[in-house]
Amino acid sequence: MSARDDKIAALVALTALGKKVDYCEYIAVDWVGDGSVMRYYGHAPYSRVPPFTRVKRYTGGDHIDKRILAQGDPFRQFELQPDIRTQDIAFEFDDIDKAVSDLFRDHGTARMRMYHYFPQVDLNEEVWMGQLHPPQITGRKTLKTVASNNRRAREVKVPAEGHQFFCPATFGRRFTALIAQQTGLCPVNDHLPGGTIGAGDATDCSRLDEATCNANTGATDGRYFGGYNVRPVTYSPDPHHGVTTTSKGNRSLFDQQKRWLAGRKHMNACTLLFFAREPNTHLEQGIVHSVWEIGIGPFQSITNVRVNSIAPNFNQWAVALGNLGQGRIGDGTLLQVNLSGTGLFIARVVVGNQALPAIDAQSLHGECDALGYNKVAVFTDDDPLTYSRIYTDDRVWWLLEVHTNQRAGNGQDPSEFWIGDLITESAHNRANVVFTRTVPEPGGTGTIEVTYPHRRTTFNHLFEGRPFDETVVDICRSGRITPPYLYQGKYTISSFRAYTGGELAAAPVFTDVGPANNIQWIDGLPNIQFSEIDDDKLPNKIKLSFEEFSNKGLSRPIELDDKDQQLRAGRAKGIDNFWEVTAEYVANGVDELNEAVKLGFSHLWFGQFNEGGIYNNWRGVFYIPYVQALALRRYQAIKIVSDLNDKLTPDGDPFEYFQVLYMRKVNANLVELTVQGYNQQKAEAFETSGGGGGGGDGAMLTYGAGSNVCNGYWPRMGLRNLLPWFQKGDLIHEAIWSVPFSYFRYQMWNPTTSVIYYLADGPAAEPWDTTYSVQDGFEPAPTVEEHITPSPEPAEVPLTPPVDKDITVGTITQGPDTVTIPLS
Amino acid sequence: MPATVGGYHLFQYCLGAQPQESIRFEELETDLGSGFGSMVGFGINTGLRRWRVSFPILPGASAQASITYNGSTLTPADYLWALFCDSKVSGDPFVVQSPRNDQYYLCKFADHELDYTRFLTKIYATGLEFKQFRLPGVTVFDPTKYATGRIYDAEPLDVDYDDGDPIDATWPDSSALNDDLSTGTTETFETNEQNGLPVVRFNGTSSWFLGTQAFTFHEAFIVMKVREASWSNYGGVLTANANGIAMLVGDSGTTKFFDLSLGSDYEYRLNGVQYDADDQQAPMNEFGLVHIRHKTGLAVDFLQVGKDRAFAGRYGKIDVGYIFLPTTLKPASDAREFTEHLITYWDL
Repeated sequence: MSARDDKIAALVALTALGKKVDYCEYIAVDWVGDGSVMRYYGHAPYSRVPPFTRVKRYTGGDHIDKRILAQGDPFRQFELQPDIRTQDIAFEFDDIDKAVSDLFRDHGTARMRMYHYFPQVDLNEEVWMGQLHPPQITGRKTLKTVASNNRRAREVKVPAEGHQFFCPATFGRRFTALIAQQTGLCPVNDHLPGGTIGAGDATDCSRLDEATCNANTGATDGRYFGGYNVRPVTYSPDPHHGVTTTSKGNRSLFDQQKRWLAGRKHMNACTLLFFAREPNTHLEQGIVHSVWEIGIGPFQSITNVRVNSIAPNFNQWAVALGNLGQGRIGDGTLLQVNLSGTGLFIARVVVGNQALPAIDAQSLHGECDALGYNKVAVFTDDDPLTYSRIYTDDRVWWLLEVHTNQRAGNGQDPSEFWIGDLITESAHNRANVVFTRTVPEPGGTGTIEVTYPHRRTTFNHLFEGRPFDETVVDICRSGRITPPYLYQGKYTISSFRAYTGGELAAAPVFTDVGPANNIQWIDGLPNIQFSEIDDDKLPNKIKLSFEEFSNKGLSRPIELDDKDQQLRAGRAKGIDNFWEVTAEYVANGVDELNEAVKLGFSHLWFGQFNEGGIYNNWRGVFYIPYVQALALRRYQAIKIVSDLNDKLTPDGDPFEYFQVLYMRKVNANLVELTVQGYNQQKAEAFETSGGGGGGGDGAMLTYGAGSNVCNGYWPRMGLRNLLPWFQKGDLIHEAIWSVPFSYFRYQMWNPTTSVIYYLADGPAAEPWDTTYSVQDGFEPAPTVEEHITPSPEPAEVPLTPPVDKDITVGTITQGPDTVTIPLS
Repeated sequence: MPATVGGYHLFQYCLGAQPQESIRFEELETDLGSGFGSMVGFGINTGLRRWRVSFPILPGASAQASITYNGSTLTPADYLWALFCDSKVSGDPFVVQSPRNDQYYLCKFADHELDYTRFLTKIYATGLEFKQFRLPGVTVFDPTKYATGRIYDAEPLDVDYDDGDPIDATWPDSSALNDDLSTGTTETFETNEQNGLPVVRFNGTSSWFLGTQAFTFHEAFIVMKVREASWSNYGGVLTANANGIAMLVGDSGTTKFFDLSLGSDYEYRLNGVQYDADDQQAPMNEFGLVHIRHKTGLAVDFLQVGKDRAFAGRYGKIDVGYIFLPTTLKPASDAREFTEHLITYWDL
């Protein structure tokens, strides 16, 4: 047991002896946000009054100021271990001397943490964290405000980086930690350990132009400038945007945030930056020349580009992966800037002179295949904090990246998370599992089993600007993981999974009878109640949409139902027939059928976030002493012993165990516990280990950072258009494959163990066969299809100007301007 | 001590007026049913006092007794006028004396809307209500009102010593008992150690004091700090001399005081928090208030401070700012008030 556990156990022992437990509630407000102006407020000056005086050892010796006004009860009511869905907490401050309102005036919204200090065991428990907002009401004597535990206003989206004419980056020297600077748009890091980029000694940047950028970065060609000092063409109105008034048809790229790709995606609707019609004296050779934005970089790869479904000819296209300081692509006729940090492709496609007049911005359609952002922090150790920034489709690390990324995420510090927990959950969710359904035997009366092997959860998703909290909840819901919740001062997550035997054996028991009774009684009766969702309201059909990778990422809704439950619903309605109650969800980041099927059935059987489905439709609410709630962790298993707990599962089993969903502190001593029935049999059968990734679909292996290198069995290897291209000597952290291996081979060598890993087609050799040796019959290196010529890194492939044609005059439509290009 | 507060002392006027006194605690109880004890979850455990006082009718001007305050001689009427005005203008609390224990408390008018006319009406008719007020860092508590006992306070030594000076004379008993402690000469006087106050420093190898009288005490309040992260030896803090008992001795290698098996009559608290005899948390590397109580009393021939009886090498490496050894056992509620006073005064 940890020291904290020992202290809580001592408190529980005190209450069991009938002794009183003292504790006080206070808040710590970090007014500036860097710890330089800390203030501690309480209902009483606890640091000066016994028995709480030793709380000063947790306030850096500062005293707790008696500022918080309370009518009788000096304790707040709030959600314990809250997630971002929790409500606000109201505070009223004594502000007769304007000390608090002055701090609000000087610093605005401030971070606050709430603590409970238990002097008898010297336990200082952080119970809530959030933002203290500027006052709603400022009076002569008091100041009323609220604190919320969401860091970001709903109106701010993920990603949020737009297309400013000045550079939107936060100047690198303003970051105090490399882990934060690494995800920024500005590369300057020479003030941080290991940093090499930077010039001069400026502490801030005007961000106005390339000359300024050069002065601060040491570059000479403006390659790091992140501003959009270009004018894009008008753009098709996007239905996702429209909060501002704009003349119809006058929308452009500037109206949108840049997109941010997690994992793999066929990018069906890239964003047109510029285009030009290039007629040719050979009438059939007329060309459309276009530049497209793909999103926030760096991408792992961008391949298979097409414009209006036409693949450009060899050497008539190029990509920029979106690295900071990336090279300029194209021949300079359309794009004269680097657009640092933004993934682009440029292409010339032949349409013929006759078609050129009809080409305009609205009729152009650009698409490509992409492996997304490759700077996701993947942690391998929490002490010391060890991580690599790589490409991954790991849902857990993407959840963290959404919280921490400076450009596209919420900009939080990773230290606000229990990284060790995330490492554990990441490993759990990367495992290959099999979901099995038992269905009626075709043509018979028996049953057969249908299996759906898959990786437990993947994450391949295009962020296009949704509110932060909705984004987080979507990621979690579709991965069967909990939204991040506050636990012992940091955020953590749990996975919705079957409890282990050890977890069930250790489940705390709550009972309303006998000498061990620890459920509150009121008016001579235990204060516990159970409820269930009516059969005619309980969803018995799930419509789940996902964007299917094997079909160019197009949306595919699947419907999953339970006919027995539909009959129960019909009978509940009195019609003795089947009654559909449909719930619709989107499988966010899921792009493969088997995983989607499993996810849909989890919603059907257990409900979203395990909040009640067909097989766990039994909820309990009861009240326990606060000190006992301190020992609980949200989403853990508990056991309830009560006469009222008499419901059986649809399979006829009792609900012995429950899952803690919510813990709400309702007064000084009581916590309201909301728990959901745990269907042990169904949960344990829901996923079984193994499956080998279902024939390779969606499988992923993560090797330790830098532990494997590509030894160059072939000079360059990759999976068709969708896998990273490795060259000899490249460090390989992970590999993903999702289609039969018809065109590629990998050979990876671990220099430490001298083990060679082969990745080849056919089930015999997958996913990674450490005993596989060089075999006869290996096919020769793949012949690269013409249109998928890989781009070097950094991507900078100069376009070959049309040399065999006599171009007369071409025009480039560039915003409102028409530019004449010279004859070549 | 006591520390004073700039303001008026209403007790100067109301002695004998016998104000009605009450006390209020904030406590929240929850019925947890049979088999489980109810908890009191909150309490500043000294509570909040209130008084209601009414004075005899103000005599005519010619018959008014005079009150001397800050060198001025005032009539009771002038005194009350000045008290009312200063209290309202400056917001400073004033002092009232409890009829229950003669102790002094900071207080303010309970009625925020009070005007002078209503003030006079209430104080001479229906009764005027005051409520206790806590002012950070200020205490008017008078230890001599608490109980008779030996008091060893480092503050008076400031007259004779500068910072770092060896104490080469006695550590005088500030009470009327005159049980001064003789010095071992290696103790030093150190200024500005805690909340601006001085302490006596024991070097942990040879420093100790010895009393001259045999007596029995029931409580000990000691403001002290152990200048170690954990005890390097069984350093004595408070014991009898060679043949006597020990009351407070460090537990070598730990951060606690040694369990001296003083029985069920013995209680130990640090900064107002009670700990079991086998878990007596010591104030390691930070000042704290050590408080021990013994119902039947602890008898010593001579008091010894800083050394464990006649043992060799058992010296406490400690700073001591204040020792109070009441010879009678006061109620625990009074002891908690004294605890609050010392914690406030020393900012522990």
